[in-house]
Amino acid sequence: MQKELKIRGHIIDSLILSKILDEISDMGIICYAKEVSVGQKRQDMSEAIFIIEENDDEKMQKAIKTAKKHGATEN
Amino acid sequence: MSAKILMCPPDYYEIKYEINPWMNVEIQSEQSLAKKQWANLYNLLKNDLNVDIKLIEPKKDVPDMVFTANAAVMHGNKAVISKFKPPQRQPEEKYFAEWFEQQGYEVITLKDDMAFEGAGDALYLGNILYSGYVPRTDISSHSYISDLLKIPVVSLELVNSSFYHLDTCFCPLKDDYLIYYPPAFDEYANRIIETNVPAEKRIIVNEEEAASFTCNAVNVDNAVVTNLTSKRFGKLLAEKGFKHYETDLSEFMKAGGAAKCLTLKL
Repeated sequence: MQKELKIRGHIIDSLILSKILDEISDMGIICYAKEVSVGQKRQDMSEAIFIIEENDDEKMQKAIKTAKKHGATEN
Repeated sequence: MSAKILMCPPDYYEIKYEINPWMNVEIQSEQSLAKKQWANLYNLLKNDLNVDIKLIEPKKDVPDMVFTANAAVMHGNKAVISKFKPPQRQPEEKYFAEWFEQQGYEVITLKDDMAFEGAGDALYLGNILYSGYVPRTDISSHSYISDLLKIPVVSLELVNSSFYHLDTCFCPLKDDYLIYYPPAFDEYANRIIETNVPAEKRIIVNEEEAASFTCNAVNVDNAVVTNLTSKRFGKLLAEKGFKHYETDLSEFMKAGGAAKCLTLKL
């Protein structure tokens, strides 16, 4: 099972993208960035699309909940 | 030009409900003492520090309106009005919005499903707006506010329920100094702070000082006003060129607030 989520904001300066990837990976779930678009100027926001791969539905829901806590939305 | 600060007299202040770990309806505030402590803070700011204090009329049934830091986050003439997470505080939103409108500010409101608790959870350090999230503010509000105000908003996760707002554990000072309490933040937030604020600009409070809301300070030029705290903290400030003013705010600590919570810089 694969789920695609996205996140937008000052996600590089806020370490949000790495936090999401770390927290989900620490659960033993595959999670990786598919696309990252980094803002050019300080005030520009960045965007990332990332993938969660997990066959256990309960674990998948837990991973999605973690990602949403940090601002991710379903793509 | 003197600093401008919004305050709200504590006429209806009481511990009416419990929305943070500090509140206990069995431990009521003593109203006459609360009024005296609030007046002492008001007088210190106005008379000793030459602050231009603006007042909003207190309203019945919203006892926490005294904590004006949670009214909005300011950006020039713009006031982004809070969307309180606890239903008990939501009635305050319209009173604050009306006040800002009457004063000629551009009032900005957020989406209904977007919790955001104003300058309680959003503080400027340099050109960046740092915003806390999880306990009382949703991280979704950060990018929304960044879009609205055209400023970078950096998100800091708060992990200790006693420090439920950013302004309870993080206080930017003049010249980009920062008072903060590291255990209130997750490891990523600590890394951000350590990367963005040079070591010599960081003033770290200890557990005891944090518990007396030493970070919940008001900074006016070189003056830093806090609740009663330690001598050690005063010395730390003096080493950095700041003057420490203490004033007893124990009655407001019963609701989880101190000097900063009672003020909003305009």
